[in-house]
Amino acid sequence: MGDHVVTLWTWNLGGFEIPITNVVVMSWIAMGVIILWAFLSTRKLRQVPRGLQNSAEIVVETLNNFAENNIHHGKSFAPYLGTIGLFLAISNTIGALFMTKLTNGIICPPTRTMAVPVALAIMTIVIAIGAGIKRKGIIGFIKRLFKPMAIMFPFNLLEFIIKPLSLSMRLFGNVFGAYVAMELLLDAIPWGLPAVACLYFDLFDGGLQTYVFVLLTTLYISEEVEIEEEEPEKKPFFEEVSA
Amino acid sequence: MELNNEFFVTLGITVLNIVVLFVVLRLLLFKPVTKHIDNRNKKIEDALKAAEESQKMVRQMKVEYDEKIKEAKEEGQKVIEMYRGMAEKEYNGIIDSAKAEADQIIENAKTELKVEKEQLITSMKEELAELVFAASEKVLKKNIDDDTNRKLISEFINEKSVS
Repeated sequence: MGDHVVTLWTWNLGGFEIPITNVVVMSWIAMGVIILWAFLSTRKLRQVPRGLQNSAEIVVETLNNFAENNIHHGKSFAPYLGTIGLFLAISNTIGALFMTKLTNGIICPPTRTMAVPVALAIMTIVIAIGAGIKRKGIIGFIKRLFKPMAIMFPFNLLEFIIKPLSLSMRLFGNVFGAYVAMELLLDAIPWGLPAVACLYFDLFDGGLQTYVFVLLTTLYISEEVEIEEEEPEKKPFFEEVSA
Repeated sequence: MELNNEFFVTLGITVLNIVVLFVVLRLLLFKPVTKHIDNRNKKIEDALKAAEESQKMVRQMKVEYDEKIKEAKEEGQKVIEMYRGMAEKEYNGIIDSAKAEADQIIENAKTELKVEKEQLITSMKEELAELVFAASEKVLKKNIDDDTNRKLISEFINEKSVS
């Protein structure tokens, strides 16, 4: 897959060998950071927010508004969008400050491995389909697959594969690309320039990819939840003229 | 196949991670913070509504007070007018009675003066009669009957004073 995955240890679960890779451990670290922040910032909620509570309120309110503005009755999707948003924000930027190079690839963004973006994309499409079925019912959801005309059915069905594929590939490609670019730059010019490039490749690009992923997730859910208005039946031309 | 195994295990663990993270963040972050923000917004809305109500009440009270002050002023004006009328009546009464009293005093004085004048005239007449009598006595050097002379002189004086 072109990525540097190291199995740190193995768990034996009922005869199944489960390899715990550095990617999984990095995901746990990212989760730990997020949970610690969430715990500390909401430990004692005050009427007038102070310190970390400000950040928690900004994040929650921004996500609530974002979900509400873009998805029909979207406030309930805010926690999911927040979860993947925060996870990606930490995961994509965890490789900053040359940690990947210094630790010989052990400390790396989890999203640099194909499995993580794929898992996130699959979850997104499953949630989008689930939301669509909940909103329109199973019949309504299946009917949508035949719109705008029946011949579109295979293409609409294909969308459920294309969407998560493009979502995961974009994320993986960007993070992996940034990693490769940084590796090459560090090999070519070890001093000075990589520090500046790191700001773009690790922080800016990581943040941008987080935003893109969350935005597309919102878009996909919104598409599935949306109910198209029935088009008014068009009168035959001669009737319109006579009217 | 080792890579595939790793891939699917990582994928499965990631899905599990995201589910756990979702549940934890929902319970720890989204629910309490959203509730907290909603409560605060409701409190602010309530406070604003209460302030608006109070302002409306104060405005209403001000209108009422203004009305009352206006009424009180009008009533006060009426009372002042009434008392002014009463005072004027009293004043006129006092002035009239004073005038009447003064007129009475003047009248009395005039009467007294008249009486005194008459008395004075009478005494002067008498004194004059005495004087004339004495003078006549001296002039005539003649002793005449006292009572007859006096009577003559008095009649003479009376005649003169009447004329």
